[in-house]
Amino acid sequence: MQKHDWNKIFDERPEEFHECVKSALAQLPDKEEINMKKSFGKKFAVVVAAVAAISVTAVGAGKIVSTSSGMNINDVVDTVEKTEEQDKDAGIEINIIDKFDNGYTFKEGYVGDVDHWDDSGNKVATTKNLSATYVLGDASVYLDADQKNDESEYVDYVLEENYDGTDIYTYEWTNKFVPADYEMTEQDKIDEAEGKVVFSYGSDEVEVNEIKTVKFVKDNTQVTLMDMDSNVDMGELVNMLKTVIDAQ
Amino acid sequence: MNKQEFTQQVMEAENSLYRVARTLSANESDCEDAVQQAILTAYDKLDNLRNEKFFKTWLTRILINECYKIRRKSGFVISFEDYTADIPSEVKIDNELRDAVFRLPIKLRSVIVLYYIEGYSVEETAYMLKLPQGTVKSRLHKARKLLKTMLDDEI
Repeated sequence: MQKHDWNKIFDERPEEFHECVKSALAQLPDKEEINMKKSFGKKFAVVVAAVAAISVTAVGAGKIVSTSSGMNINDVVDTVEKTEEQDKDAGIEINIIDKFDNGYTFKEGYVGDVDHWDDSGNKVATTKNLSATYVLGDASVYLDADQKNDESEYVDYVLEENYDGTDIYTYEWTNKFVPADYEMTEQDKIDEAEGKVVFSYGSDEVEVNEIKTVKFVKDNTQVTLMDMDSNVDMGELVNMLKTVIDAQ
Repeated sequence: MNKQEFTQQVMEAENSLYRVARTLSANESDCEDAVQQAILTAYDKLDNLRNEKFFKTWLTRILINECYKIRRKSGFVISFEDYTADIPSEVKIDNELRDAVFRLPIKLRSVIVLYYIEGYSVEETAYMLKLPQGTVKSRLHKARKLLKTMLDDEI
């Protein structure tokens, strides 16, 4: 270039622009908050997809086809004591373990509402849900306690054993966590139709997880432990659930 | 990278972010929206940044994506006069070159701003625009040719 100068196309950025940048930076949450929200968000997306795919939960005349939960990050607490306070207030009478024998330790807990929707788009029930995350290194196991509807029933759960009078059920499935705008391949459609894969939406990238869950029911509450990262096998997960049963 | 380091790196890249966003946005308002959204998106996806050395390039790529999103939403039939109406026009600004750049089609304008104004390499420009390097080179060639015509062979 002979007469013109690329460096003189713009002046310094305007003050208004600078204020916008400052404003965006001031809104940034702490990284810990983001990780927490992502962790709960992923777990909940997987559970929601499973409810739609494998359950025949019914309330009244209609089959429940989906669930949803609004989550306020400020309600997440970081001790067993605070979580138990929350769950008692919500009417979920569950004692929470601080640490399992295999090293998984309580990290955070949250109690919130879960809305249940039927296939006509009607909200048919709202129940309370307790979620707690246990960590060992980078691995997590999730405990959920949900108020159980009398008529609800999950298909495909297998009765694993009766432990001191309490039935323990297990279920495993493959979950494909995909971005919201993900377009299914032909193979995806076949896998979903054959029940080989459950799809959940909302991830940044496609992620395939082998999900393992174990559960028992106490009074009106269904307690589930879930592993999404294949870090514990089913036998270990069952043993963890027995520890929860013992604590009741 | 923690929040403080992220903030520091964004502030250091601020002038460059403005020039890129302003070149690809219809007006100052869209430019501000794009950069705000890019900052929030980048922070949210910070785990995806493999090497902090490439932070600015990575953030610019996210910013370009946000600019395109806003353009798509607004329909992007924007006259040249609208594009340049609210850009501060100081005496030291090369208005003739600036006007010529803004008259370029968006695809050519984006390679010009990244390669000539921001000084990125062809490889970096290709990464930010998600294009093959050959396409970047051919667009640079076309853009230079058009600018030459507009500026009466002064380029």
